Amino acid sequence: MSEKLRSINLSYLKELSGGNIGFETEMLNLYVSEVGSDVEELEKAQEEQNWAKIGYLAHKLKSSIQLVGLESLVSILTALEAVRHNEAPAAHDNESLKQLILQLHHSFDEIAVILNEGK
Amino acid sequence: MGLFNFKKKAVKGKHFTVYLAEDNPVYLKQLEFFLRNTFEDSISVSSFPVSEVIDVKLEHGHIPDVIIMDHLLSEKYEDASVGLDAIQTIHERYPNILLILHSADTQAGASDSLIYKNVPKGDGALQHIAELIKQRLNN
Repeated sequence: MSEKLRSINLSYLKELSGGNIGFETEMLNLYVSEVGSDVEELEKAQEEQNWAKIGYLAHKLKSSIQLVGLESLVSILTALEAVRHNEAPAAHDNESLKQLILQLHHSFDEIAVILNEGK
Repeated sequence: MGLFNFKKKAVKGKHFTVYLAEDNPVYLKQLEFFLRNTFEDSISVSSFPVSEVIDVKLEHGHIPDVIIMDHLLSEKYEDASVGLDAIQTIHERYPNILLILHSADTQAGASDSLIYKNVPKGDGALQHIAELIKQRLNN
């Protein structure tokens, strides 16, 4: 995949790994597995409009997305994280949540391509 | 100059133990890898999903040099203590342990205190942790 088409950025992971390709692959697989579970939970919480759960998952995701350079999602995650303390989330929070889920699915697709390219 | 350019220049001739309380497997793996690569044979790292397991280790006399604690630790156990409370309790009994609060929660531990160092997750956080450990061990 062309670098220009990617939304993820693996420079942090590559710096951390110091060239250890095995570690990079392990981390990308772990990201897809763990964040994939989080996205499933987010989708369920979205259906149930469970904002406490959404807020918790947003908090958790803030620690995970650094790995693949998705800093563009930090502001969305911070806003959703704060929602867990609110009684009534704003309408734009639902829209942010949709965008977040879409972006995370996109990151899985990109990682799948990268992992396949490495085989 | 890379992000992790001080690797291999850590502490010589000292061996030390670090306990990690972190419930996010993606982040935990990064932190463990970073510490082991930075301090190599000098470090032993043990990881726990909640602070309560660390309490048990301490009660049994297994006292680490450093504890790095996330704040929200309720991923697997809903009733788990938050990191800040755990740190305060540990400090009362073990004031010589270097305690580092390490969270993405911007509301938790807004600044360093006399009890702990606050290192928010994000850019430069891992290097900051390594520097704190080096400072402590070289004192």
